[in-house]
Amino acid sequence: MAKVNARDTLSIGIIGAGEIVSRVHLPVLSACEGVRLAYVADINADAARLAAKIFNTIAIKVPSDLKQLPACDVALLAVPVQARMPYYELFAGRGTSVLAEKPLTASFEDGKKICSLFPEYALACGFQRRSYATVRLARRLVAANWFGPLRAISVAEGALTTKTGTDARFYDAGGSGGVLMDLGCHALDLALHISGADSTTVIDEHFIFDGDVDREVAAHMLLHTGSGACEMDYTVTWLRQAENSIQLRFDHCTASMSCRPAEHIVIRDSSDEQRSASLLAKDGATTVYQAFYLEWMSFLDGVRNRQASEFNAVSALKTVAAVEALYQAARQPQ
Amino acid sequence: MKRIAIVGANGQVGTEVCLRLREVEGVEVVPIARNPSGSAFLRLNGVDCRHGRIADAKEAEQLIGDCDAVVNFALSTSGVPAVDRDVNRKILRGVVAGAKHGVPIIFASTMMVYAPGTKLRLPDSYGMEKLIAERTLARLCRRAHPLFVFRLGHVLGDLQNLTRKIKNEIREQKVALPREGMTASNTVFTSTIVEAILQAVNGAQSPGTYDLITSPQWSWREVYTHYASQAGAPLVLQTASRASERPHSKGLLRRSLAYLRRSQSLRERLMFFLAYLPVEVNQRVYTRYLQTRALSEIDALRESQKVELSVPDWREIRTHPMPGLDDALTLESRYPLRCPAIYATTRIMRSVH
Repeated sequence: MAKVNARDTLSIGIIGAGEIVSRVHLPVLSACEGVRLAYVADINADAARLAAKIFNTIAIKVPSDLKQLPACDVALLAVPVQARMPYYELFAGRGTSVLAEKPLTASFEDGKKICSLFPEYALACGFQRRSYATVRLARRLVAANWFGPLRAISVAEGALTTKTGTDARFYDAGGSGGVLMDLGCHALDLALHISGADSTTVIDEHFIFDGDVDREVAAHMLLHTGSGACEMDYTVTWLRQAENSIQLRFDHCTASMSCRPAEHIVIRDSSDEQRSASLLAKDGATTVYQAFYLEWMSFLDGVRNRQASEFNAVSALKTVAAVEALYQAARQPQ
Repeated sequence: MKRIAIVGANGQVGTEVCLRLREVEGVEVVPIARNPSGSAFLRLNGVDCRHGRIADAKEAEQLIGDCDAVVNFALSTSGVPAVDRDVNRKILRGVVAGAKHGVPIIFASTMMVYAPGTKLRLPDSYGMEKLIAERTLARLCRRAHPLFVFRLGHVLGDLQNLTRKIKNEIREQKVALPREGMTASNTVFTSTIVEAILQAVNGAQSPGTYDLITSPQWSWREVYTHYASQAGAPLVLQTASRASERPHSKGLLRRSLAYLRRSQSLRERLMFFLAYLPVEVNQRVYTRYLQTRALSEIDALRESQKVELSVPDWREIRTHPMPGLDDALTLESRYPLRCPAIYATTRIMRSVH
């Protein structure tokens, strides 16, 4: 890996000029200390130009020979998962650290191969929800057994999504997966992250496919933690309004939190739901921008100090495996 | 059989109108969406959709050229005003260019053109864009199409965010209505929109501009009472916090102290110099500091306990409703929303085992 000093300003190259880049990553990076935007590259020259102009950096149309991409200390990879492998190989060869938008890749085997190309600190995956204040608190209360062992998790996320942006073509073609790959991987990652599970088993699943695109997934799974298995009910949908919450069930109470950034976890007595208390989560992000900021700062600190951040790609492999297992279960004949 | 094209069928209102319209005998609803992702919900509920860019004149003709009426709910919402304005104009031109000569065109506008939330009566950008669109469409339709402009109020319906919000507020007993909810709500049910479309298409109404609201007009209290009784829950009204309750730090000294409180390093340095000043000044500064700190902490507490108004406190508007519409509840039962039960439910959190 290229030698980066702790006090160096890091140059960031951005691959992909889609909505997540122009609306979130670029505004956040422009507010980060110790970074310099080196360029924005996209196969669509106009998209790259627009994003680069607003944030005062260089626009590049992605060349057919990727080696012509300029050097940078860190690259943000925000292109569809199927198109990423050549970039991983290029940046690994150059010693450039990479923050890849979630999910890292579509298959566990590819994920392992990609992770083997980089030192652990130099490759991160954008599961920025791990920095939510509520998620940090939930992880702590499970790890420290505040309420006893975690017995079950229930996750339901999504809404009737009918409005489409310019990126809808990816979902129409099914090239980047559907609701599970796009939205559902976040909630799966949170369930694994909070419970401290290493792997999952799919017990039962129900997919609603629209052509090749999955638009709703409901599953019953087991999360395997160091202290045993924990059941999970999981629903993610683009077809109806979900609760958008995560519930953690313990022996005597249930902890509920929003899938979105928030400040509170609500604890309810299992024997009397009217009896509840609220835990204030202060350590972490309570807005989306804060979450991305914390993700970037944690990753960049890791790059400077050669220490893997909490967003390191190896830790995202179990989520990739869970997503893959669900798709495999869906494709198996009944 | 009347074939009615719904442009922007993937929007919140368009989707529900399509689902209700398809239940009407003698009507074939033709939802138009840009891409299959947008139309997934309708298609999975058994409604055939057409896909294409209405903003492209050639595509527009293929999409809507065989229809007996065109309803336009489409609205670009990229967030970039210049892009939205350009796309919205192209959509209007596409609708007029693609529609068969002489068929009615119905444009979904908004009550926001009246700038109901402001004393200045100057519409916000959304209201202004809709007003411009109304005028553009009137020019484009002249002598070619009968034009109906429906200025929609707050839209209520099983798939509408506003309805979901109202139901949640009732359930959580967090309802705070301006003037005890006795003001006009300017709401409209999707079933009323369906009825208005049918009346326009069937020639029962003259072309023109209409405010689409419940007929007779419902107050906010009636709206909330309706949903509370549907849910079998009591309607508990709260009092909204007054906007002016939040105290402001007055005076240079207090503002400086507020800044001082936030900056620990500066505070520590200044404490050193403060010791050189007379005791009286020290005491005054210290008291002010405590006061500022208390104010700030109480402020944060107030903020967390604040009860916001559930609905906008609009001034009363002199509306021009469409005549001859039945009351909202009659229309709700006349045009039911039928989609598979799985999609009609709004709560899908499964209980934890």
